[in-house]
Amino acid sequence: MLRSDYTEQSAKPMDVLVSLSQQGDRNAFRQLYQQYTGRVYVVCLRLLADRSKAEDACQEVFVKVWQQLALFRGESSFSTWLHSIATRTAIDIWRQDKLLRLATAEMPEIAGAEMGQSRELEQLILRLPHQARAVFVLFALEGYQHQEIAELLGIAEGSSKSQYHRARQLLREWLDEN
Amino acid sequence: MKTEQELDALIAGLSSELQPNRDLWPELEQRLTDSAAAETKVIAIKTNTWLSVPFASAYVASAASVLLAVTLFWQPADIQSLTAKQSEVFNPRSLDAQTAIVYSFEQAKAEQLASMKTVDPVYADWQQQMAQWQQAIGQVQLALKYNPNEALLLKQLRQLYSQQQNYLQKVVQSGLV
Repeated sequence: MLRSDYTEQSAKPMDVLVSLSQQGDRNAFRQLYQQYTGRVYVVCLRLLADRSKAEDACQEVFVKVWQQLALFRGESSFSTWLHSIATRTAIDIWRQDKLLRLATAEMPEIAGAEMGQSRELEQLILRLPHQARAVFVLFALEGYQHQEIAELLGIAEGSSKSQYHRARQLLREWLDEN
Repeated sequence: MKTEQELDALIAGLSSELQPNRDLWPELEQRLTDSAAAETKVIAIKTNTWLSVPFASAYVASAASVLLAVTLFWQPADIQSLTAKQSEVFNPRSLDAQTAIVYSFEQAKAEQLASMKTVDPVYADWQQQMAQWQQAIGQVQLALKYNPNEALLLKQLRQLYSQQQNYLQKVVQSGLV
């Protein structure tokens, strides 16, 4: 799903939930969490390729959202605003992870036997090399442009493009093997 | 090799959402409470005029004299109970954070176990493996009793549970194939 595809599912209730959450209503915030946790978690998992870190990152995103809700003025949709926080938070953790990650770290198993080929691709994305995976997720799945990705990840625009092509090449090879 | 178009089609079919394997809300709620408490503390400190710069030198002087008096006259009495009292004051929510982690993982584990049908022979010793993780979890929990709210221990607890959960997921899926 691209960034532009994030649409509010039902405008009024969402506005009300955001407004109540801004006033400190924990129950309203829980509903926001329930509605968006899947979208936030998928970004975190694909970028970090580690379930435990993705869960941690997902919580971190919602803590930030809770803390910064007062700053949300409704200039963009809530989901766009939330998604931007989610991506940036996951990238921050991805950066730290870049320094600490062990090559032997185990890949998480994606749940859901019904997903078939999609599940296979999800697993293969998690197997991609660290930087190639981040570029692939941000470009192909999150709809960022290479220039934006270069800024977010602190790499050259050319590197972003080459990493993206490398990721695609690897995915095509691996899909063929399986 | 798959063509570019085939890969694009697969990418387009990827889900825009994936739910975590366990309910993250109990832990998240705890973190919200902790962050609110920390924020209140910072605001209280910032707005306290008695902690402003003009009073700083007076504080330093008072602290120095108190330190001198303590050094001269203090008899080492019940150090352990003092330390325990301090840790109670600074870590009032320690058990809650731990409970939230245990609760959410144990709930997810119960659901995974309930969905288990058959087990692939590769995972014949799964119960023994699970018991080993449980033992490690128990040890971290024991350490948390002595160091409540220790962030590294809580993280370790989460990681052990998460590893156990990953393993159990594989066991469960082996029976579904």
